[in-house]
Amino acid sequence: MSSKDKSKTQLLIITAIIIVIIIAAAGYYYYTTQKAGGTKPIIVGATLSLTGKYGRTGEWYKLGYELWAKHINETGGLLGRPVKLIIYDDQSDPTTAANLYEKLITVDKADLLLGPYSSAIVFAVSSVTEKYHKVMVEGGGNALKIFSRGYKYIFLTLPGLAENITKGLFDFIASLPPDERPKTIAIINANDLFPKAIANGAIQYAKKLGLQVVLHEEYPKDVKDLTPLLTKVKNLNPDVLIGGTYFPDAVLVVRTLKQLNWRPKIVFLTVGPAMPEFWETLGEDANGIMGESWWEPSAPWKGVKEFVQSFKETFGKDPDYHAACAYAAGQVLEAAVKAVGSLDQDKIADWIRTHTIETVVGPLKYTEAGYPTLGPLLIQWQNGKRVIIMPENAATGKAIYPLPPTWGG
Amino acid sequence: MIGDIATLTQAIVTGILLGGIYSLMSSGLSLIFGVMDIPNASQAVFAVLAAYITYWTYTLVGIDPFIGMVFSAIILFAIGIVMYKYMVSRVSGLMAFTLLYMVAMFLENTMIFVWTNLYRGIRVPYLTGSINIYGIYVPSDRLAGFLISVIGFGLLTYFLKYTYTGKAIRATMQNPRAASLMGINVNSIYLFSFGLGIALSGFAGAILGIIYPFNPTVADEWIGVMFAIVVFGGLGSLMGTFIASMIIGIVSSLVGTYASLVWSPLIAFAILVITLWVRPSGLMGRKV
Amino acid sequence: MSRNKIIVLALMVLLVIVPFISPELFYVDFLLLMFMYTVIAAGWNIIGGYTGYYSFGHTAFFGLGAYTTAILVAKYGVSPFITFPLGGLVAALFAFVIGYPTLRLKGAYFAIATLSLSFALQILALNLTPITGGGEGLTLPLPPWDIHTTIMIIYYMMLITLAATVATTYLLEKSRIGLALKCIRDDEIAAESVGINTTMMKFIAFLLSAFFPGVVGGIFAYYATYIDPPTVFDPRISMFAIVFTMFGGAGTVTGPIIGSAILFTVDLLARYTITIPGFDLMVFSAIAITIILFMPHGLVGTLREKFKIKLP
Repeated sequence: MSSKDKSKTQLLIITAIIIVIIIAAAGYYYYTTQKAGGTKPIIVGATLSLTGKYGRTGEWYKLGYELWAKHINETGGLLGRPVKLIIYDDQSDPTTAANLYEKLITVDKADLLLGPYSSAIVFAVSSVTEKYHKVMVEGGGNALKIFSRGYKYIFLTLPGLAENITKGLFDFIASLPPDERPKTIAIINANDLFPKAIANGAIQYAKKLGLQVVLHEEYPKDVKDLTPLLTKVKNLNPDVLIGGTYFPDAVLVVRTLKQLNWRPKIVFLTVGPAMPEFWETLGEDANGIMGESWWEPSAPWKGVKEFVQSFKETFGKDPDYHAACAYAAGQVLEAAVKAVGSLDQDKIADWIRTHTIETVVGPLKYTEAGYPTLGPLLIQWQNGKRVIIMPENAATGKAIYPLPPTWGG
Repeated sequence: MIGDIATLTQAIVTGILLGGIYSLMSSGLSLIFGVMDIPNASQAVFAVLAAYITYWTYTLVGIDPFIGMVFSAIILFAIGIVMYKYMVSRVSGLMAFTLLYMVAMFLENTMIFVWTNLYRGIRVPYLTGSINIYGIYVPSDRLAGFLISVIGFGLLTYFLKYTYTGKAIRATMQNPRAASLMGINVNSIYLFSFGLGIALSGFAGAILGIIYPFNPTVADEWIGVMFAIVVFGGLGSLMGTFIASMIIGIVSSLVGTYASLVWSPLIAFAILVITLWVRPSGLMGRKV
Repeated sequence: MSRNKIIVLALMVLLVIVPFISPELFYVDFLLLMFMYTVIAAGWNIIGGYTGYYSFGHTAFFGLGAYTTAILVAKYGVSPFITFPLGGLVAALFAFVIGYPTLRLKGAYFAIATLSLSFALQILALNLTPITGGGEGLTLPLPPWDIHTTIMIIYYMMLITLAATVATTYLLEKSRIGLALKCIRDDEIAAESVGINTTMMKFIAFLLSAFFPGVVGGIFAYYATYIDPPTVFDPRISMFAIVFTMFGGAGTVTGPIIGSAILFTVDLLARYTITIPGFDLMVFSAIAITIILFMPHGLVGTLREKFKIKLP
């Protein structure tokens, strides 16, 4: 303990740590005090989950925001001023995110705000932005809870709430001839904010169509075995299985169904089927699984083709729906600022609430609470491709319905 | 009111297979904890690392996961040896636990840094279905995990019982000071056991990657239940760990079948707390 | 000693007037979060640092405090100023209940038990939906004041709790109880044989150690206006408490303060400047590993030993 060498090592380490801190502080000071000369840019701030549990998804939003800023600066900026993006990493943590929005508003003096990703974080952040009367347009959190607090300055660019996710599915069911329609539904979901909202929405839609919900049960988000639950479902033999899932549990549902060698007429899962990894992980077994898609590169909306092409040229890959929603958030702000001709937050909010705005995720028309009700596209995996089934004007193929009752393997 | 017998049987079979995964995950933790009294908080993260190694050897080189898992076990053994030599051996007890907790965090975030949070899955087409025995479904992937676990525990028990090194490990487990007086090099026993314990995660990780989609953060979902199993089974008893895994697996499955899956995760922690309260030495362990 | 007193006094005055001289509200916000972590770290220090019982589940106390306030304020309209200390009491009560089975456990067993209990609490909070709101969390009403006043109030609440925690630790260190706790840490059997009521002492330490994190948990809930189980029962909270304290110096009064101040700032700077996934926590855990291997007594311990600087 008290040998000379050891104390030297310790001294060295302490010195090293102190130096690192000083450098970091200096870097930070330099970083924040650097202000661009010339025309004062319009500062657009956001935090995203670049690390932590939503790290990968956050990256898509970042690309979407960056592409929007690039486009706008190439076409002369907003109100004749260039746009400068400030994006912080909120580590997928609501508290951190809320704190960082505080910083964006008070220290960085952000003129406009874009949103973070995931409902829980949007929820936490919006209580800050609302306090400061700052408009936030976000494409990352669509739980009803966010919009049922009477907040006036938050707007969503995902074209619907989590409650609306199954809308396409029920539109599809309604489009079937009455004698072919499924009669019974089982709903399972992870016990988390977002999947709960999906299940609640599905129950409402089912009621409206007069379908019978024979089972609604939850499971823990990090579930390791779904056999007990899906055995129960199988014994009830419903026509439709709706799963409010994330990616890992969506995969688990499909694998377990195959292991139980049973398949209802329709299997609809959320989040998982929207991702390309779904096919990579499941292969053929993903065939016929339905899911939601908030957006597809083949979607029939205005400006989609240009967006996809430009995204590909800039980043070397196809955008996904997160990137599209992020880009659309920029488009909404852009349209509003251009229309009102100033950065007045109240005027911007009023304008957004009263106009239909053309974006890459579709024409968005807002309810009083600040969300659009367009609903997502209904997709189905068919031989490695996501085929759009609903709405009919966007369809790229015909649905496989009903699914064969066994897996034959 | 127990439904029908088929449901009950299915629930128990499902639980046993889940227990197989649990036991595989906990084997290394049990060994290291038993031999040197260090709860290795980094065990689950090493399993995820192994899942990645198996995944990459499978997707890039096309090596079958069941061969890949041996390969990753060897790599993990080497990592374990180096880790013990330069880090773990310098601290003891509580500090070792804290250190390994931090190592886990370091490794997890390094993996996020290198491989991102993207979910991956090892897809083994010949393991995706199930075997139907009189109406009871036995999933192939989980059955494979269970068999590997049984073989692994069998070999390990044989090794500890009948080989010289194995006997030396057991002697060290019971009383390090006495063992060292008997001419056993306790330090190299520790070194070897730590390496072996980490290497066991190699097999667990491959099975993990076959059954579940994984990313670096899934390790956090396992560590709690692993501790529960090892403490419940009793320190220094591999058999205890195996039986504890089965019990927790079966109880979780029964709760899921007859109540709701949302309560299953609580089982492990409830059992852990009750064990520590009533019988800290666990099912089959030595006295704490 | 008088010089120390002057420093402490100056620091306290500075912290009290910060909200008035701070150019932006954000810095006040930053400080209050730092205070929050300092309180959790200092609370942890009482059972972990002084007594040698490493709790890996301190987030449980924080979360209990947060839920106490959230439930009472959101559902029953109780004044938050009453619920803050109540949250501390609930946390202490929980410590009392789990103390009996866990405080008998040695070393790593205690760590595992507390870690598991914090997991278990999170699962309970997720599933006891009628009480806790389950996975949807609980929303608190926005504070009635404007944003500036609100943050000032939260700031002073955190500051007062911090002062109380530090004062408690300081008095504890000077008292016979503190001495007894250190004896337990160094050799529990010996402590028992010289007539120390070790069970009693450990309970006192555990209860105190749980109380303060419970209080800040409540303040946090009121500040965040929304809590859900993964946020307030986040295992990272426990981990930060441990690392901050060990970095500063476990078992010293100033250790958790210095440790939290430095590492919380480093963490924040890393977050602003480097946005590569995983990088910040990589650095953070690497620092922790380095401390454990090379600086087991933390900054304060090293300063004391090597540089003969007297710090409490």
